[in-house]
Amino acid sequence: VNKVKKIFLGLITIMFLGSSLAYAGPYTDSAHGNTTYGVDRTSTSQYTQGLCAHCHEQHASIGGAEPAPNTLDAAGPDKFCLLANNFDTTVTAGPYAQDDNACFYCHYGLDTYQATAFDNYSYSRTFGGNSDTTPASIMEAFNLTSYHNLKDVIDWATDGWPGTFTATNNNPCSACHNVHIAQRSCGKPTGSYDPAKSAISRPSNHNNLWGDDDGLGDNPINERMDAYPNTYQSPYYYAVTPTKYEPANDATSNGTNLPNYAAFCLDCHVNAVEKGTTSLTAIDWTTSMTGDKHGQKAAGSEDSSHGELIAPYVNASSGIYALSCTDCHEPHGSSNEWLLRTEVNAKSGISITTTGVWYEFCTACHSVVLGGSGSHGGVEQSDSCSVSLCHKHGYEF
Amino acid sequence: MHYSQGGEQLSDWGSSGPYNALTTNDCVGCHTAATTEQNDGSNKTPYVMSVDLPIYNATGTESTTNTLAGGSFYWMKTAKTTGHDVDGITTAFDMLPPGYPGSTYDSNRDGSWPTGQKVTCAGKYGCHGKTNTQNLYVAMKGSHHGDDSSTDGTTLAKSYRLLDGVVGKEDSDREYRPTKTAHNQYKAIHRTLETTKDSDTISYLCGQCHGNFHSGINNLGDNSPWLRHPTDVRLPSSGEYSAYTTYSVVAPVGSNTVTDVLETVTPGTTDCIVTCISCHRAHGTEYYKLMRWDNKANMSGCVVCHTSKS
Repeated sequence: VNKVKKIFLGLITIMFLGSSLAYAGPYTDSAHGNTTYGVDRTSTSQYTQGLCAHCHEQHASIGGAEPAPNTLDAAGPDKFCLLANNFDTTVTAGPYAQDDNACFYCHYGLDTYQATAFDNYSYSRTFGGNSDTTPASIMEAFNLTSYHNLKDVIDWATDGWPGTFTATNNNPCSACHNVHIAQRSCGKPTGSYDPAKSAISRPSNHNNLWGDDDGLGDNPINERMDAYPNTYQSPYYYAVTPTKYEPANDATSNGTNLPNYAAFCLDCHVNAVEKGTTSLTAIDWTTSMTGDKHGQKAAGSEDSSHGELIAPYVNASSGIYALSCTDCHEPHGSSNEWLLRTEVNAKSGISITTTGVWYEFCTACHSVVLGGSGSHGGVEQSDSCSVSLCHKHGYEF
Repeated sequence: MHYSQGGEQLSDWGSSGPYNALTTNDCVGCHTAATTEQNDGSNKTPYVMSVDLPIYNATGTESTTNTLAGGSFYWMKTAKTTGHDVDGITTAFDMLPPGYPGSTYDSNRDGSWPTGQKVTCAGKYGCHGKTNTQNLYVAMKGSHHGDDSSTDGTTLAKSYRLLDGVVGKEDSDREYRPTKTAHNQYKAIHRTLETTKDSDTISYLCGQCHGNFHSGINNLGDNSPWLRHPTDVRLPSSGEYSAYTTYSVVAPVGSNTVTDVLETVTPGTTDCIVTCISCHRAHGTEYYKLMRWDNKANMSGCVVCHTSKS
């Protein structure tokens, strides 16, 4: 009996030891808190990578002097004891300078304050397989042709969730990212995609990662795209002859590995956004009469005939699909208008140079036959797609 | 009486006498543990320095630790950033006091810190005793043998740890291996304006040399988001701070009343207030910036209050 007791106690001990070793809190599990690739400011290198002191200065002074950055909007003590002023609210539009946003001091590119320079590529590259390496930093993305206007973002978030955000205090990036829990979702540096890691938090639920929970086991809520009504079909991951799917470049194609970006983005975009320089139509991803056909609203057979679907989408399923916003849009910025991606469904090099002329873009997923008796008879490739009540969020076709 | 006995000095006297007030040693000399000695919980003279390496452990509170509440200057001998560069401990001037507020806290202090002036244990450039003199012995006069029946700050002898005017409840063994039921109780106030100061708090004492980190205008701000880490401000009752309900000897909080040793505290009230020594130990530790834990390597002390940042 004693022997059995000893074995039992041994197993219990091992179990607890194991659990304590495996435990890590939300910050130490986060991208910024990681001891390998977390925050590591060049001027605070005495601190272990990932520690608070790389972003927060308890006294705006170490040894009697403020560590760099300590000029422009980073000079002196800053709110939240941050290394720099969170966001310069006098900047109402891009292009942005590094000191406009505290995050840009590291998410900057080659001259980053992070000890080891790193890249943050576009969604098209990171999750779509595009070979284009520009933009290579978050700030660079926000300085492209179209971008989420940071002032408008924080103002909108403040209006929507005043208990969470304050325009004069908070960083616009925090509307979508909780910096203390956001994880490195692209799986770097190992290169593997892990759907259980997420970099985003809904502005309506700032303290919860969005997209990490699959609704199975201990996760009662499914935060993935397969939970969105209708069927989600992942677009192809880029390849000359594509066979695998976004975002993981694997065989999964039903959205079980993709955050539910429709719900995420609609936290804000369910409303018409009129803020500062931003004027956007409300996005209706429901089945209502005014809903979008890229959302839950059924597309009729006539729609397919006007733009037959390209694989992996199939005409027979036309009407049951609901897309993720990120299938078409970049989250931060794009060289195309409206943050439209430069690579979609394994079609790369999409460049929109004229407002509304989206032929190159739309034909990543739709066969559009121009001229004569084609599906788009009377339309030229150089014509705008968004005029004459044709194609636009909230329009009939 | 003559710094001489039989024509020579006794071995347990200091070697650089004679000393003021006919003492046998100076501050550092008396408060340094001799070879093979350390604090043991019963020593009458508190050792803030030692010849041998003291045991600090991870937080200075563990079962084998032999340093006291203020830590030890020991590590300053070789690592300048681990303690106050007190004259008698270190041989060279280290740095000006960061955040020095001039004479705004104490009119006895200089408007600017004299170049090369080392910190002293007591007096105008020190922490203990009166500040109206540079003479350490004059500054401490009457304090060691005075009436210390209370620590209400009304006299130097009745001041917490002979820190003039500071109030507090002194642990009988000076936090030798403290527990939640046996620890100092530090005086603190909850401020709603950063310009407010109350001279009997432990953080005010620190502010006399580091005041720009404690008070002023646009030094801290009046409320969250803070410009610098607040002190003499209570922990909020909401969010991650609400979990700080058991007094932590690792990251202790102060209180407005110090009549009792608090085992449990309530964020959002005046028994749960951040102080300078919530994070630092006044004399030194083996860690960077006199921190109570190794904050260059871990956040174990930070997460005591910032409970969601683990």
